[in-house]
Amino acid sequence: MTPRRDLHRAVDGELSKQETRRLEKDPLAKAELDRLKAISQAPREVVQPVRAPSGFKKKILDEIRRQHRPKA
Amino acid sequence: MTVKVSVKDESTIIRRCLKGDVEAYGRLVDRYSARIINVALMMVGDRHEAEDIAQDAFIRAFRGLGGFKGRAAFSSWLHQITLNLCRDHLKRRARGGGPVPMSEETLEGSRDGGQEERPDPIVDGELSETMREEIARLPYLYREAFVLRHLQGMEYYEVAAITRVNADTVRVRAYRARELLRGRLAPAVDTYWREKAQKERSR
Repeated sequence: MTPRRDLHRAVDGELSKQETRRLEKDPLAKAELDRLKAISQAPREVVQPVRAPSGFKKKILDEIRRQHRPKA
Repeated sequence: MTVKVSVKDESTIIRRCLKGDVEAYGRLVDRYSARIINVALMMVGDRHEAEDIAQDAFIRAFRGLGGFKGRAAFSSWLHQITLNLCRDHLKRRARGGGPVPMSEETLEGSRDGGQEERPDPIVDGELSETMREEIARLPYLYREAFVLRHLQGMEYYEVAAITRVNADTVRVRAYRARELLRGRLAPAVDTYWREKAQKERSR
C-alpha cells in the first residue's frame, strides 16, 4: 500500500519519475492520487476570485493622506 | 485590475512612497488589491470584512515602509501583515461568541477531525461556494497553508517565509488540509475531475 505521504509528495511533484510511475501502476493509489490532485487544483480553477470594489484604492490613498497630513 | 510592476519598479515605488509620494503607492495597491482581498476572504469568510482587512493591511504597510528592509518581497511582507490582521480579527470574533477555534491546539486541528457525513455538493456553480465553505472550515493554520499554496500558487518556501515556520511544517499543514478536504469534498471533486477529463479528451 502506498504511504499517504508519498501521494502528497506526488501531488507536489516531489517524487522521482520512477517513484511516480511505480505509484501509478497501483490502480487504488492512482485513483487516490487523482483525487488529491483534484483537491489541490480544483479550488484554483473553480473558486471565483473576487475583485476589489470600486473606490478601494481611493479609500486607501485618502486615508493615508489624512493620516500623513501635517497638523495645523 | 492587475498592474504589472517588476520587483525593481517596486523598490523605486517604495523609495518614492518613503518621500511621501502617496500617489506612487497606488500602483502597489492596484497590483495586489485583488490578491490580498481574496486571501483575507478565504481566511475570514466574509467579503466586507475581507475588504476592510485588506484596506487596513495596505494602510499599515504604507505606515511601516520605513521599517521594510526589502529582505523579502513586498508582496510577502504584505501577505504577512494581512494574515496577522486576519488572525486578530478571528480572535476578536471568537471572543464575541463566534465559532472560530483559535487555541494553538485547535489551530492545528486533528488528523481525522471534521470528516463527518455531509451531503454531496452538486457539481456546478455551487461547487465554488461549497469549496469556499469547506476551506473556511479548515483549522486556521491548515487553511493558511492551503490558501497560500493552492489558491495563491506559492511555493512552500514562500509560504514558510510569510508564516514564519519552516517549509516542512507548511508542507505537513498543506497535507493535512488536503486530507480534511478530501474527506469532505471527494464526491464533488471526483465528478468535477471526471468531467474535466472528458472535456479535455473531446477537444
